[in-house]
Amino acid sequence: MRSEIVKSIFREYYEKYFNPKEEDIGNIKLREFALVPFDSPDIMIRHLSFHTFKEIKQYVMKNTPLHLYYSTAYYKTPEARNMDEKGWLGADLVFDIDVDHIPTECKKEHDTWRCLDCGTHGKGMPPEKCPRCGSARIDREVWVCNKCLRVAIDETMRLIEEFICDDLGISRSDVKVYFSGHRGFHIHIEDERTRKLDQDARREIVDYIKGIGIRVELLNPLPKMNEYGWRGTIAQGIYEILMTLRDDYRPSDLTQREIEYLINKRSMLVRALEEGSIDVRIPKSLLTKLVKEVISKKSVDIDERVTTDTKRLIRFPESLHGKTGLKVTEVNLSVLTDFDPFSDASWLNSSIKLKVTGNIPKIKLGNVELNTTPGDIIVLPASVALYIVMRGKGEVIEVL
Amino acid sequence: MQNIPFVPKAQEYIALKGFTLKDLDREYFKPILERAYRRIRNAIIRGIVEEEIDDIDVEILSYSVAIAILAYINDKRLSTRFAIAEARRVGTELKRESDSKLLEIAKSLSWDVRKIEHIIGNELYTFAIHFCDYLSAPPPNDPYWKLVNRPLVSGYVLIRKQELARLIEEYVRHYIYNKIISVGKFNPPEALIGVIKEINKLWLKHQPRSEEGISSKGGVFPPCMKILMENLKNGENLSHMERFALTTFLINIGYEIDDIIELFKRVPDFNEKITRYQVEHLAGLRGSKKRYLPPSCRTMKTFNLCPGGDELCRKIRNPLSYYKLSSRRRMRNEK
Repeated sequence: MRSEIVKSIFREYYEKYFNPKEEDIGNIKLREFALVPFDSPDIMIRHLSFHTFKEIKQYVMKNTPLHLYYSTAYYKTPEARNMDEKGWLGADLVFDIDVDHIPTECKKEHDTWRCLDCGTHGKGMPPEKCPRCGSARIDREVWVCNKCLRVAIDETMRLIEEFICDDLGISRSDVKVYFSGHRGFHIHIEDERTRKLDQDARREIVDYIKGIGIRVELLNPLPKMNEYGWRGTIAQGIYEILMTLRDDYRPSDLTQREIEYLINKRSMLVRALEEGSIDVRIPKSLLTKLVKEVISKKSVDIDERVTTDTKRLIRFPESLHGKTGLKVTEVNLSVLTDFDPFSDASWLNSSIKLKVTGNIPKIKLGNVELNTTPGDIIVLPASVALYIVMRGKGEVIEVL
Repeated sequence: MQNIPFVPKAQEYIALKGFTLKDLDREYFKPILERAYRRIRNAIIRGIVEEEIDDIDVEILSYSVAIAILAYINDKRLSTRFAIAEARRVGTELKRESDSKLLEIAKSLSWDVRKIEHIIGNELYTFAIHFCDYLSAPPPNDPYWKLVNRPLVSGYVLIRKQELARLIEEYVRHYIYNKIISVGKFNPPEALIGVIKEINKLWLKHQPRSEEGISSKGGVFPPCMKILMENLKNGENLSHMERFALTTFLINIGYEIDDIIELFKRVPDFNEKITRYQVEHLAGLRGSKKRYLPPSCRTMKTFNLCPGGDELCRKIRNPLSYYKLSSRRRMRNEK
């Protein structure tokens, strides 16, 4: 399936179009680089070190990568083979929004899972354990449609605006957003101050963004809406719930009695949230439910492993994602909402004639509505065709 | 301020005096050696080092000598205990300092701290500290200190005066401990050897009794509780949540109240009366008469107390079940 034609497409990209910008990665001398060769997708060559972008370019022109990575960490000796010798100096603060983790409605239409032990299968988000045999060995096939991508974009915007800029005070100009080449976005912050944060500190930041560990006891008496941090956010969230509450409308899992309680006390609670109070409280069990509801709405579902790992390898800007053929692309915040990977993260203008070899769900990728059966021979925009090929669902017949 | 060991001024001061360990063999420096001994002794016996400010030279130099002694003895628990006791002394001093002095000290650590005035509810917040500095030395796993429960705006965490003092205290604790373990091997001068022997003897006598004799019901501790137990044995300061988790766990697997109290004797701020009251409360012998269960695995995770489970952890939702399951398994195997 990774035919010579596909390899030549990758090779041509790295020879002619691959042009990372100096400002994409600071301090490249202190970074480790790694790649998965196009011809041996099962191995990863690690501990590479380069002094200039030119060196990197020359290297990948000779060794076409299927995937290309660099370390978010800075090392004294990046080429050393073990961590002690590398000498960790710090790491960028990185966030990953991956729509994989976010349950979207449309997953039922295009995602499938299969238990590797008993063969049970189904649609949508996979269960943690197989409902039939209890095995955790579950294989999944994931597609990212335009709707999924919208969700990832919204989450990314909220993460940057509300958490990274407003709360953490990091300036917009220090935040770089990259389409990951597959299912979401990477947010890189190369800030002098966050560089030294250890794993525990980064976990605290993750917990902050995900709203993990909020103590309900500390929210009675009720906080005021203009307070800083989660206290203010919780107050605003409860305010919104109170404002939309009707006898027949139940947010989350409130009981009838709890709804009545909120409606009866609404004006007093609203005043406390608006003006602050030193004695207005909500019973703990009810407050717990409200807080849970607010957190689910206002937190951002980042992949905590990426942020807490201070020695992580992450995709190289402008490199190709070997599972999709799409380019890891920097996205300007001002145009993020209109981002379309099949035109914005592709360098291919041509079309490809393709033979479909596997089941593809009915899905919209970029401007193309797919509705195929195995065996079909179709002509598609090259970016969409390459995507299907890299997913193992098609073979290139010819580039037109 | 010279009496706060990490402040660069104190370090300059030592350098200025051109003092080395060899000098200790001279009679003239005997008070320094004696004070170094008292510092460690107080840490062992009382869990806090009181300040003695009659002679500032002695006070500052004896601190460095104490570090050297502990580095030579190389006992993790003793070093931890000393670091906590010294940090506590600093903490007590800091709480008495003025706002401007505290600010000056925080800045000498290169922390980005600002003086503010902001009222939330009826609490006055007087400092704003950059979140990176706040996260560099947070007190142990206490939910109250979690970033998510803190007012955070434009990169700054709002804190009160005592909290800034507490953060510095925590920094000092790390600083002292790291100082001890970073001292390389050295040959102590004659005079130091005597003191080292004395301290070894004292430490041996005052080491908390090991838990021999405490009944074990045959189960295995889950990874989270193993770590807490280990930390407790090392005399580390457990947070409120950690104490709650471990104590309720021990109660529920059948530890006697007295045995639990014995374990907590290792904690530097141990107070038998308070500990007894709290343990009895959790055991359901007081107040609400309700026996508390340990927090669920989910809660443990939230508070960062779950080190990542093993095979058995996948089957359970509460650390207690781990113990019960493992003891059942063992009994089955023995039959």
